[in-house]
Amino acid sequence: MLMIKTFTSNSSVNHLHQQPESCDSELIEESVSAFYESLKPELNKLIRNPSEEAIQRILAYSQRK
Amino acid sequence: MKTPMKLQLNSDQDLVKLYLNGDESVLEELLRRHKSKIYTSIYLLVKDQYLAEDIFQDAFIKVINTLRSGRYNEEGKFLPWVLRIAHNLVIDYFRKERRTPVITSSDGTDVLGMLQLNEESAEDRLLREQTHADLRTMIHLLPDEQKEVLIMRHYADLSFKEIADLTEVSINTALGRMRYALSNLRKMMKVKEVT
Repeated sequence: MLMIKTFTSNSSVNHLHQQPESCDSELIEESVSAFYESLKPELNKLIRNPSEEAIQRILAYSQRK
Repeated sequence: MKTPMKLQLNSDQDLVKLYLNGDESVLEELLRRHKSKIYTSIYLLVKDQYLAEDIFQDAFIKVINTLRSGRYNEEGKFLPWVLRIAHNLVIDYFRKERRTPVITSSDGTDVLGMLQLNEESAEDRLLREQTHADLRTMIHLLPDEQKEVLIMRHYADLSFKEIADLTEVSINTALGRMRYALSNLRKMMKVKEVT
C-alpha cells in the first residue's frame, strides 16, 4: 500500500497571512533583519524632538480653544 | 515638560477621553509620549528643522480641532491617526513646493545645525554630523514609498498592519518595501565603504 506523507505548510507566505503582527525578524529575511538590527543604533541617533517653544504653542492653542 | 505619574499609566485612548472631558493636562502627556516619533517622522521627510516644527504644530492643531469637534473615531489608535494627519500635511507641503522655485544651499550644509553650541570638540562634532548626514542622505535617496515605510516602522514604531492601512497597500507590500529599503541602504553603505 502506498503511503502518502501529509504535512502542514509552515512557509513564510502562510505565516504572513496568519500572523500579520509578528515581529520583524520573522517577517523580513534573516540577512536583511540582521542588517536592520545592526543599523538600529545608527538610525536611533537621528531621532529628534521638537523645541519646547513648539510644545508650549500647542498647549497654549489648546487652552484658548 | 513634566506630567503627573498617574497619567503615564493611562492608555492613549483613556487620555483622549480625559481630554474630551476637559482635562487639559493630558495633552502634555500625549505630546511627551509621542513627540519624538511624530517629529522625527516629519523631519526625515522634509529635511528642515523649522518646517518640521511648523508641520508638527499644524498637525496638533488639527488634532485639537478634530477632538474638540467630536469627530475623532475612538476605534482608531491615536498615534497612527496623528501620523496620518502629519503625513498628509507633508504631502500638501510638497505639492505646494512643486509650484514654487526651490532655493537650496550650494553644498547642502546644515548651517543652523553648525551653530548649535555644545561641549564636544569641533572635530568630534563634525565627524558626528557627517555620519548622521550620510545616513540621512542615504534615507533620502530611497524611493519615497520605501522611505515612508522605514520611517513609519522605525521612528513612528507603527506595525506593518498600521503602515499598510495608512499607505493604503497590503501588509505584504509594506513588508516588501521595508525589505527593499533595508536592502538598498545596505548597498549604499557598501558603495560608500568602497569609495
